[in-house]
Amino acid sequence: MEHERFATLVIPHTAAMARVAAALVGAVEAEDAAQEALLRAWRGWSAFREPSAVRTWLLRITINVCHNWQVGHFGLSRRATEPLESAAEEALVAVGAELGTSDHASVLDLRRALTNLSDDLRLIVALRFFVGMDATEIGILLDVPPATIRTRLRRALALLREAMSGESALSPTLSTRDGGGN
Amino acid sequence: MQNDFSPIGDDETRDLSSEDRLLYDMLHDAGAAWRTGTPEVTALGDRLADRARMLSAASPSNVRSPHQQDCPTTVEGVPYQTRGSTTMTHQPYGRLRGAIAAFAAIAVVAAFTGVFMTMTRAHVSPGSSPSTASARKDQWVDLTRLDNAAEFGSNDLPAIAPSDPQVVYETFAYNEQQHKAATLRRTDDGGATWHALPTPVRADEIGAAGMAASPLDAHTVYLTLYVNSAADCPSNRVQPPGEGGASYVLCWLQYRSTDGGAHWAPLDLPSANGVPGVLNLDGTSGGGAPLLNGSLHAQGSRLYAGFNCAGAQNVVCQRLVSSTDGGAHWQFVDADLMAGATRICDALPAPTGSTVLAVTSPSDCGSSKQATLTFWRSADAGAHWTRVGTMPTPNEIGMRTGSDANGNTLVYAELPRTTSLATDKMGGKYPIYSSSLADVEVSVDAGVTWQHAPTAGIPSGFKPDFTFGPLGPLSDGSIVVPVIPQSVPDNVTGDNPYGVTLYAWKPGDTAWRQIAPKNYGETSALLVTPSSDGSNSTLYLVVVNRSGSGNTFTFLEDQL
Repeated sequence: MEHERFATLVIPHTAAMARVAAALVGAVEAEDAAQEALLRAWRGWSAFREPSAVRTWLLRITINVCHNWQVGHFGLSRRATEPLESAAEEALVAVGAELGTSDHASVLDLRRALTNLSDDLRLIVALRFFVGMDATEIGILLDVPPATIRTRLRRALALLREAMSGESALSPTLSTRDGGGN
Repeated sequence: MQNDFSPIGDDETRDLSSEDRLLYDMLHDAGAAWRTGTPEVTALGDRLADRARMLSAASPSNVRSPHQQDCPTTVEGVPYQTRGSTTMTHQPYGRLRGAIAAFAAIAVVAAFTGVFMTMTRAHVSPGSSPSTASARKDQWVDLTRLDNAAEFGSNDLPAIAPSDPQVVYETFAYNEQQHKAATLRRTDDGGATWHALPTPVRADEIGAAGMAASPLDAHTVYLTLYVNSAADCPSNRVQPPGEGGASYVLCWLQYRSTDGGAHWAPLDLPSANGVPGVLNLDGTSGGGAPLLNGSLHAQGSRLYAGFNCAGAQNVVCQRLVSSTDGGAHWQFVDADLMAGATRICDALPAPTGSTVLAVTSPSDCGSSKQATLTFWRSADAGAHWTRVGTMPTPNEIGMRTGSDANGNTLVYAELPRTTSLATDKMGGKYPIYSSSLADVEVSVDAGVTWQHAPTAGIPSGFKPDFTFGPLGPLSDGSIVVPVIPQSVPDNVTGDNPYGVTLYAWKPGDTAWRQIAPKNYGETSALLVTPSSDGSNSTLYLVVVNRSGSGNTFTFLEDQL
């Protein structure tokens, strides 16, 4: 692939790369992780042969870099869930505020439950809810059928619920939102 | 993925308990709040875009991660050329890839005529003055009348018509963001006169353009465009929009003309499970994708091409399509292949008959997964496929088909061994390939068995340049391989100061033979075509001349 075309094809997806990196390693570390992913893409550009798949390719690189970032390939050793926990906590508090509740306990319960999810389920939760991908795109990224992603998502929700119900009930205020449909 | 959360699907929430649905909604709202409440992430996306622009403007070797070792600055003591502030080394193999396609397409045509000759010639030194276009038998001749002196920001290789090399198409475009008018032109007389061609959409909305001439008819031509206006783009063809900046659009469109580009009509293509796509015809539409060498291939009156998904859903696919009406309509001819594999890595028709060959992978092609590749054969133009066996290695970089003197089909493939799996600084694995002429293998029984090519015939200290896969074959069935010094790093082509020299081999020969003199500059297209009286053949070469402010083309011609 011509290197002149790198910017043309990559720029539409840099926001997604930033978002994935921020969701997986946190906003502070996302800068370095995403820049590293971009450089890695650049180095592999001449061998990249499927421009129609550039988005998937870039986000896979970003996920891999972030994974390695978390497990210490860059000399760092971080808990994989730490950024998501922080992000989730802040965002959940904001949601609670919008709903007129200050029930911080539910937020903390959810944070703790997220922490205890396995790596693969936590990744799916992060990509689905915080990055905003649908099951089809997550499936393409992780090389897993979309139906499997949906199954794992349900499993993650069930585990989160079980973890939370073992500690405290869901906020009554938040429970009022349960309409059962969409 | 959009800026907003992807819609909640019934499949995803239908069976959730009320408590799980509550959790789902909490996470949904939290994610939405996080996405809209983190301007620093948005700013990071903008910085990444700036960085991508900087990288695009730089040479690959000039860019390295702090985790990488320093790149060499000399090759056998010869400094790389420095132009402006950028140290130029290499380039992108995509141009050659796309163009080699032309060579392959033409080689199929040439195979019918049997007019190639072996030759050895003196080389043209770099920097020699352009000469007139009178071809000589002992050297490359610059074709100044075809020289494209205009600098361009982004365009594709000139398209030399396989059936009549006097017909050449050129595109001039300037990247999506520049909003400068693109132009198209055609010559019917080898560059003596040029005809400006209309564009099917507003010229200032064209960001990149590529053209490919049909091997069946010089004036049937295909045009692939990137456009940057949503108004020109069907909604299902817009690539994931919006995130690169307000109103940024990237859309692929493809057209066909039967009158040399005077009039254009949208190409009638199938969709892959609802996802639209484009034919993989040139550097613009395929980016040098290996499937059918990124070009049109003729087998009698039938055409074959690769098909890349290119739609809003961004679904990855690489399919095989065929046309029986000169390219007006296309159909998938890979049903059996898609049922048994996740990816078609390569496919080619035999020069004659209705045999088509394909290589598939259960995962990505050419990745570090090192998956076993499967070889397939169809005897009925792709209607049905039979699994022949597995490939000798998990690395198939290029395939060519030719015919021997008895009309038997020869299948060549570049099949390097994996000498090791290297680990990059991020912990990622990638294969290290062998680099030997023995990595060229040939099958004379449609892929059942394979034999290595010899290594004899090239000077010591040289190695094949497999960046683009093997070339050819010639009309006698020989495969062609560019050869470069061993000292040239594997990732260096382009301004390689040593140039490349072409060697050929066919089953039964004990050594490779040189067929053309060394050429300098960035070899980007190689085309072999027989003369009209069949007495000789001409080899055309396109060399890209790169500079800090733009690039130009030089055409070289040599009679075989």
